[in-house]
Amino acid sequence: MKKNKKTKNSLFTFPVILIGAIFMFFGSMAFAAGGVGDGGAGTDDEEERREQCVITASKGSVVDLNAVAECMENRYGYDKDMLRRAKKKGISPEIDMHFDKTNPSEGQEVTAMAIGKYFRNDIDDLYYTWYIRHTDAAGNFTNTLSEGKQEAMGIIARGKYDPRLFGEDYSADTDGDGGFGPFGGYDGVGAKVGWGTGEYDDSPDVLWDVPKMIVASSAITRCYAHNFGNKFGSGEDGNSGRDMIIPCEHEWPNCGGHITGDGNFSADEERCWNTDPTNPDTDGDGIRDELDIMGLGQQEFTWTYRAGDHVGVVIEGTSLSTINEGGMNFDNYVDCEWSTLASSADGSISCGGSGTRDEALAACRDCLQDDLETITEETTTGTETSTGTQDPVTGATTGTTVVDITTEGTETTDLTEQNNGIAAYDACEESLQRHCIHLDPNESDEDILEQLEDDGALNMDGATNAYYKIMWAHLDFVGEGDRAGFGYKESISIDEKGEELLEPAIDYAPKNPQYDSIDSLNSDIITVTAGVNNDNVDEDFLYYNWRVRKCVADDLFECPYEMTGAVEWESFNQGLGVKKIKFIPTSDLFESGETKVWLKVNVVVSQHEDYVGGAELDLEQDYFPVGAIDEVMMTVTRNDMNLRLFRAFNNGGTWTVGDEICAAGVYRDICPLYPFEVVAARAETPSAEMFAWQLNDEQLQPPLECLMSSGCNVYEDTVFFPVFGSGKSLGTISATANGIGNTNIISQRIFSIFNPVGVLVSGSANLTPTERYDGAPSEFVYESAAGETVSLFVDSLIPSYLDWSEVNIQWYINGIQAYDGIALVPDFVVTNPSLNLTVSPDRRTISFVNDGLWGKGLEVACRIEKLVDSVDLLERGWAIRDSHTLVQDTNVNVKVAFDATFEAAPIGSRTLQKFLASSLHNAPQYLIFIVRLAVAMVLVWSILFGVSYAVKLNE
Amino acid sequence: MFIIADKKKTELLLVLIGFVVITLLIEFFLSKIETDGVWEWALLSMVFFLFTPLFIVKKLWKKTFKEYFLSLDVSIKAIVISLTAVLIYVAVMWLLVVQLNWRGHLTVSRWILGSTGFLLFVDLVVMPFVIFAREFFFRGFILKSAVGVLGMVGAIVFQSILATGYDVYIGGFSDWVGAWPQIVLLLFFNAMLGFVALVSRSIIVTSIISWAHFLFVDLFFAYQLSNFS
Repeated sequence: MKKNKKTKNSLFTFPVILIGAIFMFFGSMAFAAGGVGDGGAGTDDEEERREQCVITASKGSVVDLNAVAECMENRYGYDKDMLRRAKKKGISPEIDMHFDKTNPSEGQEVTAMAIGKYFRNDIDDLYYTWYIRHTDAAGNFTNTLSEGKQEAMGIIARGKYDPRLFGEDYSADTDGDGGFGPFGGYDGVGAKVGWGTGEYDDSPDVLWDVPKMIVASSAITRCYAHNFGNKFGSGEDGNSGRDMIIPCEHEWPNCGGHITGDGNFSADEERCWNTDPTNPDTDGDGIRDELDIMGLGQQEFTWTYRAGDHVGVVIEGTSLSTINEGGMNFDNYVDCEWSTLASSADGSISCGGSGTRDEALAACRDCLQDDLETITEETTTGTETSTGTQDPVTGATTGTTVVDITTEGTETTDLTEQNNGIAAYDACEESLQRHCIHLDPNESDEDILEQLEDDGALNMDGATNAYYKIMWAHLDFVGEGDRAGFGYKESISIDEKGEELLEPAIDYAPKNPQYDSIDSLNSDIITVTAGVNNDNVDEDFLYYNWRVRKCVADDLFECPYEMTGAVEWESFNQGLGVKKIKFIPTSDLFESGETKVWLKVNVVVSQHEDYVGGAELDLEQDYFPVGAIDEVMMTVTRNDMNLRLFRAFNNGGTWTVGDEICAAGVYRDICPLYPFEVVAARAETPSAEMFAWQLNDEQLQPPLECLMSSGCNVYEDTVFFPVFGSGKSLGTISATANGIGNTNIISQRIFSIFNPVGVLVSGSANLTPTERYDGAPSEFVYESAAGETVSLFVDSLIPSYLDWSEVNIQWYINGIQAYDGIALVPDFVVTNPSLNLTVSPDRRTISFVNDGLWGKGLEVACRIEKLVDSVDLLERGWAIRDSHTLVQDTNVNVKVAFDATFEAAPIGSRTLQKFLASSLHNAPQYLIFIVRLAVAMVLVWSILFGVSYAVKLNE
Repeated sequence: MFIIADKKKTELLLVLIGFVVITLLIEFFLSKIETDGVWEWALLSMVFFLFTPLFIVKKLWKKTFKEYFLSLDVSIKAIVISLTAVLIYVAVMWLLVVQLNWRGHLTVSRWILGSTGFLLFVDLVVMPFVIFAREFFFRGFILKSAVGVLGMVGAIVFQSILATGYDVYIGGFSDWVGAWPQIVLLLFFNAMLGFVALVSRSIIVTSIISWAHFLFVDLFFAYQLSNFS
C-alpha cells in the first residue's frame, strides 16, 4: 500500500508541475491567487477555486508555484517529506548467537559468536558488550550481571595475558591505550539530551509537527528502545512496533570506579582489568585496550567453560530505522507566550505564570528556593590586611587589601526542599518549551509559526534532519509485565536441555516369543531395547525404569497385572544406563487354559533418577517434561509342543524309529550326533496335526526315495533326516505348528555334530589329575610318582547312546600304535618293554609303568572308530554315496609328579645323599626353573638396555 | 628420549633401577620354588648378580671388567691394607658378638641344620659361586658406579646399605626394629668389604674374605649345634 501511495504522489506531482510550467511559459494563465490580478483582494469564486485548486489561466497572469504546491499539499496531504516519513519505520536490530561447541566438557575453551542484524554500521564499528553468568547446581546465578560483564570484557581485553607472570606492578601507564566511543557505534553520530525520554517517538506529546510526524528536536535523545510487543499477554498491545525514546547510556562495564570510554585508561584502570600497561593492545587483536572493554568489533568471545555457564551479549549501534526531527530553536526564541504551572512531587512547591517566554520562565523560577545560590558548604575564617592611604576629605581610599582565607570545615545542608524546587522548575520549563507555540488559542499555529519564523526563532525545516536511530540489540525481549516488549539481557546456556522432552523408542526380539511348557529352559529370552531419538543425549547416562504388565485379552488398553516379578529376569530392570532388558516368560504368565497372553512393556526414561517414577507415576505431574515414556505390546505364546529325537535304524531296508535320544539332562539342550547318522524327529502337541519342518533353518526336503517306516511326507509329525557336517559344528531341527489362533508355535532342538569320542579318566588311584590354573582338576594332564604302574580308562562315549559294540577302540602311546583294537602291537611291546603295557579284554582300560622323566611325560591317546552304517540307504534316500569311517582321538599326558620327600623331611635328617637324590629326581623342575630364569634374564637385560639407550649411555 | 647431563649420575641411576628390578625378581622366584632352594639360590645369584651386570658392562657401557674390579692384579700394599681392615673387622666383631653377646644376630645359612656333609657341600661347592656373583654385583658393579658420583666414603656407605637392604628384604625380616643388631652387623660387614674392594680394586679378595666369613660362621654354629645335640 505504501508503495502504491508513493506512485500515486509521483504521478500526481509531475502533471501539476508540467501544467504550471506550460501556463507560465505562455503567460496566458491566471491562477486564482491573491495579489496577482486584482491587488490581492480576490473574489469568492477565486477563494473557492483556491480551495479546490482550480487553475484558471489568462494571458499575462503569473503562477505562484508555492501556492500551487501548498494547495496540493493541503488538499491531498502529500508534501516533500512524505517519502522520509514513509521510510521512518524500519527493522529493529536483532542478534543471532552461536557456539562453536554444543556439548563442551568442563575446562574446554568455547567460543560464542554474535551476529548483529539490521544495523547500519559496519560490524567492526558496533559495540559488543558480552557477559557471562555462572550458575550453581540449582541453576541460580552466582554472579551479578555487572560482574559478568567485567569478567567477559576483561577476558576479551587481555586475552591470555596474565600480569602475575610478568610481575607487573602497574606503577606507570605508558601505552596510551585509552579510547572514546560515540553513541551509536564507533562511526555513530552521538547523542544528546532530550526531554521526551519514556515517550514513544510517534506520540503527539513529542511531535513538533503531528501531520508530518516530525518529532521535536528538543524531545529526543536519538536513542531508542524498540517495543517488540507482548510476548505472553493476551490483552491489547497497542505499543507493539513503536520506538521509545530512552536516555543514551552505554552498556559498557566499568571497573574500580573508572569510567569506560572516557579516553583515559590509566594505570589503575589497567590494574583493575589486568591488562598490560606497557602494551596498548594487550590481546593483540588490533584494537586498543579501552576500545576492547567497550566491545568494539568484538564479535566473538572465547572463555574456559564451566558447567552451568550462561553467556549473553548486547550490541550497540545505529539502526536502519530513521526519524525526522525538527522544531524551534529555543535559544533564538524571542517572543513566545505561554501560561505554565508546575508543582513538586509532594505538592509543597508550585510555580508558573503567563506571558512571554521570558516572563513565563521567570515565573517558573519561583519554584527555586531563594537560598539556592547562596548555599555554601564551606565556612571560612581568615585575616584581612589593608595597606594604602585615605583621603581625609572624601574618605576615598587607595591601596590594596590582602585577605588570607583558610578553609576550615564543611557544613551539611538538607537540600530536599531545594531539589523539589529544581524538579518543579524543570517541569515548568519543559511545559513552556513544549507548548509555547500553542499559546494563543485565538491565533492559528500557522500565524505563530510564521511570526516565529520571521523572528528567526524556528528551524522550520525539520524534515531535513532525518537520521538513524541509535539502538541496542538484545538476545530476547521481556515477555510480559511493565517492560514487556523491550529487550533485556538474556543469557544462554550452551547445552540447555531442560525443556527438551526425551523421545524413547522401544524395540524387542524375538517378534513372536514363546514360553515352552515342556521345558521352560527352552523358552525364548525376550530382549527389549530402548533407544532415544534425541540428539546429543548419551543413552548410557539416562535412568530407565522398566515394567512388564499383562493385559486383559479383549481389552488391550487394560493391562492391570504387574508381571515384573513374575518373569524371570536376565538383567536389571531399573537404573542408570539400563537401556536393554532381558527376561524369560514363566508359567505364571498363563492362567489355566490360556495359550496366548498380551504383554505391555513400558519404560520411563529420565535424565534424573527421581523422575523415572514408580508405581504411582502420573504423567500429569510436573516432572513429565524430564521423564518420558514409551511402551510396546507383544504376545507370548504358550508352546506345548514337545520335539523328541530318536535313533533310526535299518530294519530290513527301511528306516525305523528306535530309542529316544537326548531326552533329558544337558544333552536335551544340545544333542550330540555324529556325521551321516540318520535321526528321527517327532513333534507332539494336542493343538496341531500339520507341521512345517526345518533343518538348519531351511525347509526339510523329502527324501529321494521313501524308505521310512512312518511315511515320507515332511508335513507329518515324524520325519527322518541325515546329519551333515563335521568338525564340531552345530545344527538345528525345528517344527512349526499353526495351531493356536493365528500364531505359530515353534519348537527347536539343537544338536552338535562330532565324531564319536571316548572320555578318558584315571583308571588307578595312583594316577591323579593335575591342577589347572583355576584350581580345577585337569582333564588332559595326569601325574603319578615315577616308576608306578598306572591305568587310564575310557569312561564313556559321546554320544552316550552308542553301544561299545558299535565302535572300535585303539590305544596309542607317544604317537605310536600300541593296541590295534584286538591285541597289543608286538613291535611296540618289544621296543618299550619297560612300560609293561596291558589292555583289558573290554578294550577300555590300558595300564603301563610311568617312567616319564625330564618333564616330558607320556602322551596316551584313545582312538574311537565308528563305521557309518547303512550306506546304501543313505545313497538311495539322500544321495550320500561315500562310505566313511569316523575316527577321533582323545589325548592325555601322563607325567611324573614332583617328589617333595626331601623337602618334607625334617631338616635335621637331610643328608647330602638325600639331597643329591632329590635333585636328580626333581631335575625336570629345575629345567623349568632355568627356562623361566632365562626368560627373566632376557627381560631384565631388555629393560636395562632400553633405559640405557634412552639416556644415551650406550652411545 | 631424554639426556641427563652427568653421565656418571645416569649410570648410577641405571644401576639403582637394576638393583630394584633384580631384587624384586629374585623375591618372586624364591617365592615360587618348591625345592629346598640350594640350586635355585645359586642359579639366581649367577644370573642376576653376575651375568646381568657383566652384560651391561660389556655390551651396553662398552667397558672392561677390570674397571669393575674383576681382576686378580692385586698389589702387596693393597693386601696389607685389606688384611688390616679385616683384622679391625674381626676385632670389632669380637667386641660385638662375644662381648655384647650378639651371637644370635649373626647371619647363618639354614643348611647348618642338616648333616655336616650336606653343609660342607653347600658351603664348599655352591656358596663360592654365590659369593663371587654377589661380590661382583655389590662390590664391583654398584660400588664402582657409585664412586664417581658419591665419592669413596659415600660409595662404600651406599653399596653397604643396598647389600644390607637386599639381605633384609630377601631374608624376610618381619621385625626390622627388633633386628637392628643384625642390620648393624650386616652394614659393618658390607662396609668393610666395600673398603677392601676399593683398596685392592679386586672382588677376588672380597670374595675370599666373604666366603671365609660365612664358612667360618656356618661351621662354628654347626659345631655348636652338634655339641648341643
